[in-house]
Amino acid sequence: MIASSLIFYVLAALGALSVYCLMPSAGYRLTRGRRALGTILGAAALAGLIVWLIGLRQVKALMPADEPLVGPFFYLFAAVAIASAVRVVVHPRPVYSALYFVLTVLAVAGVLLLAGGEFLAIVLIIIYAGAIMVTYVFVIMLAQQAHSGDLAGSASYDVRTRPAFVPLLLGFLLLAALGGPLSSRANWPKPESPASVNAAPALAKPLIEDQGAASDAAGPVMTAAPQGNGPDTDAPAPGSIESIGEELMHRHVLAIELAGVLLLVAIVGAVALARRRVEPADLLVGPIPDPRSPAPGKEAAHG
Amino acid sequence: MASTIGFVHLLVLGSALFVTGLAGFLARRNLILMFLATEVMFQGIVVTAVAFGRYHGQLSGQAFALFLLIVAAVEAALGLGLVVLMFRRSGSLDAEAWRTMREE
Amino acid sequence: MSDSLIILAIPGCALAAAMLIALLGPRLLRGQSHWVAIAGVAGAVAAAAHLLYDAVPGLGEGGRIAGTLYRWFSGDGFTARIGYLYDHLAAIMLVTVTGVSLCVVLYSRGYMKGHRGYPRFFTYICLFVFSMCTLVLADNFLLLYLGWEAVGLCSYLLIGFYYERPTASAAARKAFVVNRVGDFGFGLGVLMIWLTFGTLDYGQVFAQVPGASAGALTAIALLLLCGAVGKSAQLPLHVWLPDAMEGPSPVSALIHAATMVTAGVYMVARSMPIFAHAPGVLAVVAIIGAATALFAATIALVNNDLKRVLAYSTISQLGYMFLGLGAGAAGAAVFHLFTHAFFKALLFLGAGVVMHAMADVLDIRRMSGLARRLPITAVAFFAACLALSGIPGTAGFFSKDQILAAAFTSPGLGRLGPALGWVGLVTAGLTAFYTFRLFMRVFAGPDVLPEETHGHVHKPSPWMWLVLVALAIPSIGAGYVGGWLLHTLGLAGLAEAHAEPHWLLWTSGVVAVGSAFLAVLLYGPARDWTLATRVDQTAFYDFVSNKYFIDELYDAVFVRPARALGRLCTMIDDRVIDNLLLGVTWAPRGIGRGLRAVQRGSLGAYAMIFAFGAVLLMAVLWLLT
Repeated sequence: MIASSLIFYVLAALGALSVYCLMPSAGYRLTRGRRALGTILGAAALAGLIVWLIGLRQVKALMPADEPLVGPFFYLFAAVAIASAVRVVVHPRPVYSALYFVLTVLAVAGVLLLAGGEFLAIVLIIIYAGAIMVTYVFVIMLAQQAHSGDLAGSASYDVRTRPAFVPLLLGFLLLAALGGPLSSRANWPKPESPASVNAAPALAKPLIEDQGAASDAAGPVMTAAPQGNGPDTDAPAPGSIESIGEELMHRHVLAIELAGVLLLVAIVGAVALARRRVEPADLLVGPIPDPRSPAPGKEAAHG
Repeated sequence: MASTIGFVHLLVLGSALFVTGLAGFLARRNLILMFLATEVMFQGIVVTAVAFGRYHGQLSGQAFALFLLIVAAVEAALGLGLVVLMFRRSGSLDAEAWRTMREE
Repeated sequence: MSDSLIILAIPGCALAAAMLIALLGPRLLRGQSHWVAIAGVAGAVAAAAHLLYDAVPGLGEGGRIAGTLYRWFSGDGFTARIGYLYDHLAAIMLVTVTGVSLCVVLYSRGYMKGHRGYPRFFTYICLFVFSMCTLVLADNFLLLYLGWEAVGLCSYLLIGFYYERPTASAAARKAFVVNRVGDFGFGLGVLMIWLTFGTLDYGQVFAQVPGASAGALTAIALLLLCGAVGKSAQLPLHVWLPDAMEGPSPVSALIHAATMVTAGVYMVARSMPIFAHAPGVLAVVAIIGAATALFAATIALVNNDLKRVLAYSTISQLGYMFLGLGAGAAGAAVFHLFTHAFFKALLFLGAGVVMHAMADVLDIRRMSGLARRLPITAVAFFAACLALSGIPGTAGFFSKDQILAAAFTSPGLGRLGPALGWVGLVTAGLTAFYTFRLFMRVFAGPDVLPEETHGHVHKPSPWMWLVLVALAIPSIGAGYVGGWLLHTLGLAGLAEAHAEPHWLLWTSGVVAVGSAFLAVLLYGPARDWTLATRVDQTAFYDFVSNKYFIDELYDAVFVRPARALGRLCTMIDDRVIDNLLLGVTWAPRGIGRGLRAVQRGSLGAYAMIFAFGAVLLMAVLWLLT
């Protein structure tokens, strides 16, 4: 077990190093060699991570274990998600970052699909890839000058990030703190008994009444999920629109209402922000010079 | 061999996404990209929430993820609105340019 | 209408008038505010008079009409009720209070006319009448205390009525503070009653008195006496009353002569069962009364301020009442209270006329011969002087004699009684002397006006002189209803029937007439000041005319140390506590100065600190599990 944790730490460190190399940091120029090194390190870390994950024994399957393709698909989606997330944060051009983020969202949606969250997966794609990212791209377009293929036209704050060492050190430490204990089975939380919670129809009704019936009708969650998809059972699968809807409307009504209020506030706020005019008096006289960039005036002219 | 995909797999994926986003948030200077990095962190949290929900056999995880989506949308709408305003004021998206938030 | 409703109508009318004037006065009524006040007080008078003729004869010995209006609050064995108790004592008090109030309100129509605070004045007066009636009608000590404080408040407000005058506001403050000393004792007494008897209702308390311990009774009686001494301006808390003359003259007449200051007498008379079972305290009451009577009369002899002479006279007469109470003759004391209310109110209202006429000059050395200019006032004033002096046949003679007789024959006072009676007799002589000195200097002699008047004498309006005449009648005649009062009203039940010695009747009459004659000789038409001047030059005269330096004594003993303490506290506050606070603020300021470096205003730095904190938290959690 100690060895397993150690392997994870090493992999996390490799990943952090890789991102450090790829980050267009202020301390150095992003050369071709450095980028190659970062890519290789990252690929190695990712591959190592997948192998490490495959090697992990699990008490309880979260995904259907009898489907032969589930495992490979999960690893594929996971690798894509992580890789594209890394690209999001290291890419010097915001538009590309946004597009990579769409890829991340798609990969995460795939993972969710495998994990029984069909509705959530679709919603994630529609809202994130469809709505939120469009907003991002619009804003990026609005705030960014069009430029040719090379990075010469990019703003200084995209070409040179903050010194990346401390952020990545912190990231590594956090990942180690989060993931390290997971490799020890003793640290896993105890799953609740399936009786109280597993089957979606049981959730639709008051819990106390149906506890006995639910424990009889539904086995462990993972076996229930594929059964629910069959046409012969009237119980909706966990993760389907129906079960999610019942969950939301029965157990999270107040949260739904609050979310509605939040959205309303956001609408009002967005309208208020959009109507706001920038008075000439409010304008800062040119961009504030960055103390770290050697020739601020020259670069600001492009931005 | 098709090993079982369990709790830890999803948690590790979630942590990796979260930490990647965090690193990006801390390192990037472009305000829009900082926001984007928080969205990456949100993805990590969504995965984690769903994983915990599955692990405990509850749908609350998915419901929580849905509320996260709502919050993310709200945050994007307002945050980006503010970013546009700031950009119009200073002509820059550099987070380091905004140093007026301190006590003189 | 039932009697209860009529009883409640007495304070009710006054309260309604007060509220009406307070609400509508400044905007709507303005110069017509007096109509509401007159209507309200007249209603109270009518109710009180109706009860006197209708209900009182049916009361019989020790009878009462009592009831509860509502329960104010209750808890843990304690119930505060708003209840009323109408008996003989309350009846005579109500008639006195409302009657004099009506006279004063009518008089004020002329006296206060055109003043800026006209509605305010009538609001206060009506509020006072309400408070006084509440005090009198209360059926428990708590409500009595409430009315007690309410009349104190009205007194404060009315003394300070001309609040733009610094002397007036200082006098109001003085009255309030001195009364507070007495009221503190009174409050303690009420608490003590609660502790001893477990109730505050008169009936239940008095029923339990015979079984209570002597120590507790003595303590209660002394504490109650403390309040009475404060309110009725007895030694040693008399200092506020002369200064209270800063208020308008009608106020002096109503509150500081006729009614409020007699609240102490009323309270002791009401609590007589308690006092009677604490005989040591009755002697204290008698001694205080006699001492105050003599003391104040000597000051009145030499004072030259018209209203202050009357104020000291009031203190002196209140001393008589206390002497009567101490002798156990509550009936005699209340009888004197009744007669005194009329002639003293008349004297003050007459003084008000003089004050108006003399452009607010009150120094009796600067005026004389006013009888020719203010004939009606002079006649009315003379009638009141006769009554105050106790000239045989007038109201004052009868009531004063009752008290002196009680003192001489009191079984409770024993050998102390005759001694105090002689003091009272001497005081009676002094009273007649200073009263006629006052009258002679002001109304007799050659025509002298202060220069402030510019030779013009402001005539009293019909409102004023009609009231003076109206009051002159009871001043002379109230004594003749004494027998009726004492028997029909059942006051004889309050006081043991005193067999009045005949020699006393003669002696007091001779003393009064003789002293008055002496005063007329000295200050009369002859205007021979030689003897007076010789007296003026003695050290004793100086001592007395400075009011025995009591004010100076209090100033040195209480006021100055309090001021010094205040200065000390201010110094401690300024030097020590402020610096301590500065020291306390220094710490966060220093920390803030140190932490300011963190607040660089850089978003990146903030995010970094935030992330660092998150990592730290995770690490801690990890290490803990």
